[in-house]
Amino acid sequence: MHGLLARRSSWLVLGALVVALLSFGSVHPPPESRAARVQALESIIKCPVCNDVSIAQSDAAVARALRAKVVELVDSGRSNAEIERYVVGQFGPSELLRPQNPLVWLLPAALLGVATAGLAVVLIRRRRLRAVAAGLPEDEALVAAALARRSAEARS
Amino acid sequence: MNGDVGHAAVALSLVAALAGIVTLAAGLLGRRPGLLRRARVYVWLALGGMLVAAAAMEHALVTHDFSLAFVAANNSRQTPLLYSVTGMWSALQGSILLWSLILSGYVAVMSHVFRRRATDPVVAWALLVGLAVSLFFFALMLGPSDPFAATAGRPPADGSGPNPLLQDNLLVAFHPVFLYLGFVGFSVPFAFAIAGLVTGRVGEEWLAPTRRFAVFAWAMLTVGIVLGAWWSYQELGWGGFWGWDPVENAALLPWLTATAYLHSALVQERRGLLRVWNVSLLVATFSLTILGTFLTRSGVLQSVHAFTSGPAVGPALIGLFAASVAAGVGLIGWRGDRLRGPGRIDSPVSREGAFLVNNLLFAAFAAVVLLGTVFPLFAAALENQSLSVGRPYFDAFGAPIGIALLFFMSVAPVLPWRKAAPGLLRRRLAVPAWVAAAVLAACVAGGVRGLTPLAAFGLGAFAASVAARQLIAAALASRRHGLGVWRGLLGRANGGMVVHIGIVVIAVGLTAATSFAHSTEARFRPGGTFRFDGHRLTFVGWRRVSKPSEVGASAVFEVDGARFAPGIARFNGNLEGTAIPAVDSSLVDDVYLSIGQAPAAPRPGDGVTLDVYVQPLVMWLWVGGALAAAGGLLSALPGRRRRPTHPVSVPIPELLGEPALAPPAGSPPSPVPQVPVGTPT
Repeated sequence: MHGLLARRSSWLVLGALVVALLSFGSVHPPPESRAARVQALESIIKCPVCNDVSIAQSDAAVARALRAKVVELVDSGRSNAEIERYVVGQFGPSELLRPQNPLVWLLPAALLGVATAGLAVVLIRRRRLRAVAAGLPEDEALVAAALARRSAEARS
Repeated sequence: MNGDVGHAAVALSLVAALAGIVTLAAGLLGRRPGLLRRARVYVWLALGGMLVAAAAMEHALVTHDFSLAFVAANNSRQTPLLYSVTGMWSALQGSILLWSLILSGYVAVMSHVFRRRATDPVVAWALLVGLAVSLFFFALMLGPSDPFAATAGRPPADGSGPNPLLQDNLLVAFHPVFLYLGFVGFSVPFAFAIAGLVTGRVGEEWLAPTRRFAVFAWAMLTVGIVLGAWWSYQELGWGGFWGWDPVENAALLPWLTATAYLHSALVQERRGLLRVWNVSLLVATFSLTILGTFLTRSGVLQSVHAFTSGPAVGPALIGLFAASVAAGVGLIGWRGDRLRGPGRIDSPVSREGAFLVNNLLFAAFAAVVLLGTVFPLFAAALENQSLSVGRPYFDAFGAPIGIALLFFMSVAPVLPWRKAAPGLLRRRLAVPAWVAAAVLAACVAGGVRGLTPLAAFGLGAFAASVAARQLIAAALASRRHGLGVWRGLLGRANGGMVVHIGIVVIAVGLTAATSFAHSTEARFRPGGTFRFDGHRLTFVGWRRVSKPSEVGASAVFEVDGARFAPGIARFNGNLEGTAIPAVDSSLVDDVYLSIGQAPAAPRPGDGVTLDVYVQPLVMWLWVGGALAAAGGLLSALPGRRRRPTHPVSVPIPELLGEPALAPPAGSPPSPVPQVPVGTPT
């Protein structure tokens, strides 16, 4: 059983199965409910009188009023972008917890890219260097002799 | 009285630390081993001073000695005994005292553990660094952050009492202590890293002896963070447990770099590689604990955790941060030539290759969190722009990094060092991969939708079954060696697998709770019933609460038949009410009740507005935290003992003559007989 699972063909089947499951599970999302939309909006709007917490997290009266406003705007058919614009217009750009400065998004992405490229270069170059440095002839002779002895014993 | 004793004790510690530093420096520079041995006395004196100071502070709190400004601000006659005791760390000055006490304790343990090597320059330098950091905190307590300062004018008849949020939940007794045990614990490996750099002995000799300190501190930090999440979940009333608040980030940052270090230190121990990287991670971990304290305690960043506005310790803390970073970078640059590793990485498909990727991911995660935490400062200073960096930013980077980490958590444990033979991964990962696929199929069949949760659950199952496979193999191996099966749980590698399972449990709980939460606001009349997300809620009625330190009311609800009573309380005559949530927890989901709006003094017929949050698998976070901590402690215990005289591997001729040597369980026969290599201690 274990041998069967370890075969290359079994792994191909497994890979296909996982891809199929993941794509089915992510392509057919349930329609976004009104409650989920309201919740998503509430979690990115900062409570105007608090420190760093969203209106979904805050108990303050302003946050409560803003939550009601979000529900009202969603029910009147406004899009998420329109609601975000409304909030920024009322309270300024720091009102959205999703930072509006492109730098804060680009910097980590660039950093990650550079680090990944660096790691790849290190691993590939080290591999190439190793390929050049062959083992000493004495070592290779020792290994060959040992392997020969072993296979002779196995045959006997 | 308490104030005088406290001042004297802090002064004693300060003088002892100073004397210890001078003695060690004289012994090191003058090459006089006698002086190095004598320095131990000062370490114990410094600890003694801190014990007396902490006892004086506790005595003042318990006896409500309002002649101390700190006690008057954080205690009142109505404060219950437990919260009087925990009052010590409910504001800045007392927290610094707790920090100093724990640091003195660690330095004393360090000097005791290494007492037979007291004349070794590495140990002496490490002690010197430990005492120097202690000296900084002692000086802080005699300068800007004096916990024993007298009340200005006549002592008040009653104090103002701790913040209401800090006198309602038992966890305030544990969360800060564990957190500080974690934060401060990394001072020990940091001290040894600096000592290694200063003496030029940058090899592996200091790694193994400080490994237990690092693992212990890591476990304590993990417990501290999880308890903090649990506390905010039970106390803050918004149904969440993690808000990407600067204080939370300040605790997460050193956790990330420390986790990276625990993995990359293995690469150095085994292969002698990554020396610069390991030293850098230790310097980063230590500096980040200081930076976090600075960011959250100096008022630079606003935080919900800054319970009191304390004195100005900002400049001193940023000074210590700058000094530790400068010392680390300068020493690494100075010793650059000696830090070059003797070997190289043979193949990317190897344990060390996987650890490199793991370190890249942890470092990237730390960079993302650090940038997001301090970016508002830079935006305000440089571009005069006020902006908030919140959950959307951290989630956008955290989710893919977390998923990538889960993947490498699944593959790395079965990879051998140096180079994997072809087909090895295919064989070792076969069963776990099918288990993961089955879990994924079950999730899809059960109605879970969305790429992120499906990937997290599938990879979580993969990583957990790989960890389980490793543990089973270790248990079988130890039985084959005539030892108990339980031995398979001990030791670094096996304890590490228990930690992995705990982390997976946390990751699954985190994904489920954040992806599939539902919340609503419901208005109740007495006797009214409301159905939400498969739960039935009935408002039974009001109950008055009156304790010496708090007055208020609880709204009694029946949730699926069991009673829960979220409340609103006013502490010490504060006018503003604090909502006290109630949670119906189970392994499947939590129903979280928090009073939204209620009359100031409810009468029996009054209604109530209730915020209801239903979140799946929240309890998995706490269970996973406990598992991870237990695994951390297991891996700090010694594994299978090997006598120092035993050779690490079987001699070559003997090995070749014995092709029947049993391969480790779980791996089929391979062309080369496998040498059972135990875990080196």
